[in-house]
Amino acid sequence: MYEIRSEESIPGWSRRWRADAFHSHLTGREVRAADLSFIDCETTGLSGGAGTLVFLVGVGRVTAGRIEVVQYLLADFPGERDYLELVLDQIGRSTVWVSYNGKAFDARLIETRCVMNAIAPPSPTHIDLLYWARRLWRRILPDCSLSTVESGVLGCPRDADIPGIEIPDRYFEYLKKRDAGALEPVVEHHRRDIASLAHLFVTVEEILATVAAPGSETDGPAIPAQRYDSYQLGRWLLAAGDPRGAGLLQSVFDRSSESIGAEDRYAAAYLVARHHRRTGRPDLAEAVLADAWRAAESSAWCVHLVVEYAKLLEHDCRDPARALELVVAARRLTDRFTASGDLERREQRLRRAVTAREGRER
Amino acid sequence: MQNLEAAIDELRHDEQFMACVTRWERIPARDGEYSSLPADLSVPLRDALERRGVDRLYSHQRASYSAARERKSFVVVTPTASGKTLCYNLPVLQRLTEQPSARALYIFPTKALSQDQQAELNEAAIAGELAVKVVTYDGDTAPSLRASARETGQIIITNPDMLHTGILPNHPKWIKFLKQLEFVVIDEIHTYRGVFGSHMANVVRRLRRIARFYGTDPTFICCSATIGNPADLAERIVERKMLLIDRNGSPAGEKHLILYNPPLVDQVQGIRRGVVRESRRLALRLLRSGVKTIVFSRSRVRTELIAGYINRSLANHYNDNERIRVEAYRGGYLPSERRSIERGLRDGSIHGVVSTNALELGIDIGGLDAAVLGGYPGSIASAWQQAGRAGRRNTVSLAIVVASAAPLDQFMVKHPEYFLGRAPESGFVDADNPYILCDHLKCAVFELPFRERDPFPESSIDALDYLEESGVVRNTSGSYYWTDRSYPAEGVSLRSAASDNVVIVDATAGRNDVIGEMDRPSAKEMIFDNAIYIHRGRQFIVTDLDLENRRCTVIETDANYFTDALVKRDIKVLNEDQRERMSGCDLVIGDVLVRSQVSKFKKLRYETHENIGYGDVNVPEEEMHTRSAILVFGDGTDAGAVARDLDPSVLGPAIARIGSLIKNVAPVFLLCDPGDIGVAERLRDPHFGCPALYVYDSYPGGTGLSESFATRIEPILTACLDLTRQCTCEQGCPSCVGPRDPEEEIDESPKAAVLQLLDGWLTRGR
Ligand SMILES: [Zn+2]
Repeated sequence: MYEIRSEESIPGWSRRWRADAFHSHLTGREVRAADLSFIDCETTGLSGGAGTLVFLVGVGRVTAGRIEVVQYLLADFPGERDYLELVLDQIGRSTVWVSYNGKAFDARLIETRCVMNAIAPPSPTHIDLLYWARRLWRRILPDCSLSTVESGVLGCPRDADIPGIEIPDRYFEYLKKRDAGALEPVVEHHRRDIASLAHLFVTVEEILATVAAPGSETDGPAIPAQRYDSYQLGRWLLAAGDPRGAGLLQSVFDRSSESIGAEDRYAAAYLVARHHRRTGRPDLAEAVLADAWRAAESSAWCVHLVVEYAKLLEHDCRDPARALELVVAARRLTDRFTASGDLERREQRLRRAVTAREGRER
Repeated sequence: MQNLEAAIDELRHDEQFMACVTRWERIPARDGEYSSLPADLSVPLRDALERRGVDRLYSHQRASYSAARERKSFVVVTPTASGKTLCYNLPVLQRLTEQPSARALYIFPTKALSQDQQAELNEAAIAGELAVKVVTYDGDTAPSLRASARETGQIIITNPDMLHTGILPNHPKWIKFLKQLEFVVIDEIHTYRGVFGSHMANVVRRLRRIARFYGTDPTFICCSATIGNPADLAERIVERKMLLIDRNGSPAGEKHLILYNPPLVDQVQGIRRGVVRESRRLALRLLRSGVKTIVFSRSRVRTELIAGYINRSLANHYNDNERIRVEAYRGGYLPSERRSIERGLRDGSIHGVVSTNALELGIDIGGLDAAVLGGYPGSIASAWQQAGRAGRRNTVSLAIVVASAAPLDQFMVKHPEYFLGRAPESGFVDADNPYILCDHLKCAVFELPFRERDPFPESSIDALDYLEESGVVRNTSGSYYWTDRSYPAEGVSLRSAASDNVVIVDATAGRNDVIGEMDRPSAKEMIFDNAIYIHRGRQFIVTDLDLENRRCTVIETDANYFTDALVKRDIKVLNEDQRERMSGCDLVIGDVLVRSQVSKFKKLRYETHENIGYGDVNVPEEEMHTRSAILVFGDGTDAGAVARDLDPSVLGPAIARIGSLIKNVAPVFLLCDPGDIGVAERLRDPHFGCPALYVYDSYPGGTGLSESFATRIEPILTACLDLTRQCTCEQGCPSCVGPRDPEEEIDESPKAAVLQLLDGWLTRGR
């Protein structure tokens, strides 16, 4: 086994992160910088399976805003077992792993290698930044590969990088000829991957920090809201039961003049209103819906918003008369939508409800 | 049942019908042999069986149970409707009630069959009542369900292809399953023969090797239809000693088996009425008599044609017909359609079905009254499975085999003893075929570094060294490791010979539809420029064979002829492994290099096979290393003595025609297709210095066919002689030695020449 060490500073790893421990929004808890392991593997095949080996494992650790990357190279196949044990010891089995697509790929592969060598597989807490990248940038970037994120988000495009598909052959060539030169571009590529992981980690933490406390000052470089997909992030946070999502979606709806698409705004309003209804704040829900359904007049969302609003008025506010008024007004506007059959039925039902109530009151 | 008995009686008194019957065999009813439920059976399992009215077992089920309990690997021979599934389900379920962490793997040759099997297991619901989890794991299993299938499935049902490409290469994901694997069930093991069987034997080697890695040594339970060598075949595939359980204890009703040869319409040229027409006529007759009938046909198109014809005929049959419902059944139908037809057959709402061999395998359709086999299905094992579709446990049934004009059909219809005796066909495999072995060694090295050779053969080491030279494996510290970024199982198909198939594209009227595929060597001989290609009953003419781009362009045509390539074969003996004087000749087995060159083709008129012209073919030569059994007409042999008496101008064509007879007849003895066998004759063989007839394996490296052929040479040659002698034609016809060919300078008829040579050769020694 060979060890290759290097060190560099991480853009954005600023004051707040220099503390021994900090609150991580990604994990939702206090994290010690020393416990974070930025992990990446290079493998002898791209399709997985028992014949695909891990030949290069790298782990990055951060101290005082600098990342130290240690790369472990498998010298030859027969040493795999010792290699794995040593590498896992070095990484530490109980740290927080941070990776890019590591949940589906790297961790699975390490597990497979452990099974094949009769070693107990590690079970770390694992943050896979690919999932976050998808949430934040899928609709903004052409794809979510690490290199695209590097150039499109982190602002540091790579030049002269080895294509991933060539990596296995470089290793086989190295085994055959024992010429470390063949591996140089692979080792460099791998080191950059790990450094980028740390950079990306900070970036995502900053975005989440902005969301957590909108308007407050962050330690790192401010990430302008239009640089990430606030709607998708808000939607995901809400679905994950995080109320910060509602605030984010409200801001999406409020930012009418900016680059956010109109459909996203109406969808955001709808999700915010439902959240407020569900959490027992019909007043807040109504504030959103009253504005939103008229703004959405030319969108298919209009019907959904009206229906939501009508339910709110009828069930939460117990005011079917207002609900009927709303539906009648909305039907005049929305006849062209196919989904308005829903409104028609609702109108009839509300009429019956109103008549019945009037009968009782008389 | 009265309907059937009446119909049988009517047939027996129909002179026209009886004139075409070559044999009417009444197979008497057989009583069942029973045994009590095993004493050690767990109470819940016993209860579940008894609730279903199962309070005893057939003797073969009981024997299977005992063998499995003793962890003896075995093969059980199970004719249709003999309660096959209980032979393995009972011991496996018993084991799972004792030890829920145990695991079993069921391997079925096709995907559709495994679904039916699961349905059967579920239907019986015994597994459900015992809370045994049965899951199907194949290409259709949703990715989201796979992890839980691996984790919790106690019985996993799969097929060889999934085992090969999905399970074995990812065995670490299967650790929980493999660590507890106790039973491997291989059903329909008789389908694993030739190339497919040779692949399967290697997949089993890989499975056993991986099982050993996880510390398990599963017991193998195999089920086979009636073939000549069930234990031998199973032993070749599983490569361990197999106990044979072949005494069938299930009862059977009386069965009438009729071999029917359609009437001759042209005596001289030996032309008979068509098999499709005769089968649908007979089926219609039975259906109208109220007999529930299944018709088997040899192609999907014929299936639809026959079903359509029967339904149209019934529609004309004024009022009563609506109650007779007939359906077609074949591959390519939606599973829901198939399930609904199967249900209809079971509950009796469907009265007739026309099927390809898709219904031959173990799908439960209940019992029908009669089966009409439209053409001999290629093997006696299949013929019996098809015939077995008619008949319930204790009622009379009828099976009519309608022969086509093909030599094989003509041979079978005239030799009922093959049907009635023990099936003579033996499946063969060659697990050590160097090409197949090499493919699976790649997969094996990928799965686990190769240190211990076992269970692979000694020749593996040479193959691995070759693979090291080509760079895909690395030999270091006594082990071979996979050093290629590819996933080798993906490039190895268990079902077809070569991966470089030619795609056949229909370009009629601007179309661009792929209608078929053919391996490259066959393409050179079958779909050269201007060849006639027949696909699903439609005729096409080849406009361009582009071998480089593996594409053959065809357009539809209505030519009245078909084409036959004149292939020049050059054979070189590379190595003689064995030479023995037997059956009146010297029989040599060895490696050969076959070079084939097509330069011309004949145009032959349909029906009469009359030669109406020639054309040129321009394709590069094809080379193949394979195994061959060579009949050498050497000095001092009977064959050599008879050959010397014949004029060389007669001898050449006569040997050639014996070659094609062998090609047509050998499938009666070897479980193979005529296409699996290549033949070539030499009047003066440069290697042997005398006439020689080569019978070789058409798959590169050989699949065991040559060796298997050598052990059955005597009956095969006798069958060739009988077929020729008994044919009603005068000079030779497509049903025997082939018609007269003006190119050959045979004064007498080809039939006479063949008879003289073959008869002289075989009778001299007696
Ligand atoms: Zn004939």
